[in-house]
Amino acid sequence: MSIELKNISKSYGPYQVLKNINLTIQSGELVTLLGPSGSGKTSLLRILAGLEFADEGTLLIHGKDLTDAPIKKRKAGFVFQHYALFNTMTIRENIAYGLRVRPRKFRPSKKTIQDRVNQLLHLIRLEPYSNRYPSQLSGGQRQRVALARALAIEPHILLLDEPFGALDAKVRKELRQWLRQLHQQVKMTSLLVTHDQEEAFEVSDRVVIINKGKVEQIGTPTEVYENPANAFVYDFIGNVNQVRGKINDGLFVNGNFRIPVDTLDRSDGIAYIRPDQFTIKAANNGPSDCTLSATVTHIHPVGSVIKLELERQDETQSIEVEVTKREFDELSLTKNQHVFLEPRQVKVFAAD
Amino acid sequence: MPQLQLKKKTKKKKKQIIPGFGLSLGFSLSYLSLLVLIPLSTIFIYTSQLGWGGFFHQISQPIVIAAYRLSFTTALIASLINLVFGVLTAWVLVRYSFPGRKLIDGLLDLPFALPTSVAGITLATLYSTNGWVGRLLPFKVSYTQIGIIVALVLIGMPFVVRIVEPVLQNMDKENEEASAILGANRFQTLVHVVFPKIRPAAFSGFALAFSRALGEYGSVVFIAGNMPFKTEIAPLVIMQKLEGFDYDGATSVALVLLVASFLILFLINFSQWLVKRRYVN
Repeated sequence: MSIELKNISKSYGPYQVLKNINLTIQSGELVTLLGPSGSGKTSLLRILAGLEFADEGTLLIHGKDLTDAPIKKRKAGFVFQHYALFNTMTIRENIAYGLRVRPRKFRPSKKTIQDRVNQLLHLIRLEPYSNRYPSQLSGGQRQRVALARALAIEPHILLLDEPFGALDAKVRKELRQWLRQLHQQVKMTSLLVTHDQEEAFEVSDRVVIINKGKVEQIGTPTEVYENPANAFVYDFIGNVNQVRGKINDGLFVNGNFRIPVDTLDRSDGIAYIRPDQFTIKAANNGPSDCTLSATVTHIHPVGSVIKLELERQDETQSIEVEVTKREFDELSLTKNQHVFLEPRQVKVFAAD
Repeated sequence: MPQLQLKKKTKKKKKQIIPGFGLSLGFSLSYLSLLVLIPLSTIFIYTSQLGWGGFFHQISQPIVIAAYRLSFTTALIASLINLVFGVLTAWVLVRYSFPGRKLIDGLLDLPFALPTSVAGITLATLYSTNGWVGRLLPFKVSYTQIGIIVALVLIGMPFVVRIVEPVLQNMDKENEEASAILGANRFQTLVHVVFPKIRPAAFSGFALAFSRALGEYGSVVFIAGNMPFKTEIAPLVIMQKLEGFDYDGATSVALVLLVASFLILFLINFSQWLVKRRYVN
């Protein structure tokens, strides 16, 4: 079931949370809405579920206009950040709830409901816990139950609102992988909301970067990471070094550092360089103005990636660089050593 | 050596983070004893001097039995009414915002503040056959059992509301939203999701209102008419026996009310505790 959002806008009083959102999600796709808190991503999800209504715009699910349709008509599965399980019901009753409350005409037989619940309990690997209450389960288990409960009604679309946000790092990672596998099995059109970019990149087919109620970029995780559309995305996705300078005659200049840019406009600009996009050289043998000369101020030597902090010599700015353990060993860097940093990839955006 | 001794000492005495446990517990217990336990126990002691035979003789008089029946049925009906409308009132006050909400919320405490005799006289006048409200009704209220129920509803009103209110306030909306998304209609959500959550609180309020209604005297005597066998409640029987210096009779009747109140409070709270224990850690 595909989802199509056209020109969706929404305001709370004077505060506009969504501005002309256009988004198409293909059938069977898992798309992530990624943005900082307050960006409007949860509002968008709630509009999809029917918990809130858009002020303007159209919402099509499987080609049907459901903009003003009541919650029921949308056949959406929804997973809340804080699980929202029914504490007064057992796990089994929680999962069966959506089937039990159907009008008599559409309600499956008791046996069918039991079978379906058993099947889902198997899917979430919580069969031995079926008669426990939610308070007797861990956070990760509760969220799995919440997911099973959402899937029980065989929804057309699955909406997940920061589903792993309340869990600790290890459980979050496990559940993420599990969700990915699950999605491959059931191939349900899913929309996940998160502010955690690692999570977004790991589970989704496509990522929608959203900020201040506007879509900044839509693309596969690779596209978004390798080719951020604008300064916000560059800044929001991953670590990045920002070098502020001036754009003049097709050249971005800051201190002794200058690189050619496409635009000829004169303006202030910011050059974005990812920490892993530097080649470290002990001596400068290339064109000197494309490198930064800097001194190593700190080394974080733990892990497969070595993080270095350096201080530029021409300007007061610290630069973060990541090198592989192997590169680090080959260079045999030490603190206070003077090196040259050659960026392999730089992107310059006009500063606003 | 001295160090070793010190270690032993701290091990023996369990460490208390919050100071003053002994003092505050001691004070609360002696306070409770002076005001509640000792006065109540004298009823037991005094009645026990009668022996079982005397006790049963006192409480099996037809006039006493009629009073018990009246007291229990009116208290039960009144607190059931309060249970239903208390939950409704709490719901309205918590879930909707409307002008005057705070005012109504404050008014709810009036039955606690009002001298019960004033409430009784007011109700009796209003609901008498010539009263403002009584005139409009096709049946008699004042000086009948209905009048007793009206008075008991009034004095028991705040209990359910005040106990259910905070539970409703703390209930997150997500549960209801989840229910709606799963396809439940409003009524199903109320029955399956909301009511189970407020049930323990509602029953506690019900139990308190019932106990209060069982022992209520001041407001009822003015509106009941106090006809023996018809509108004479048990607390009034006690009063009359005391006035006739029949202390044996008075304490016997009182003892039954006391034990009944206690049992009802205990049973309701225990059953709700059993229910809650299953799903609340």
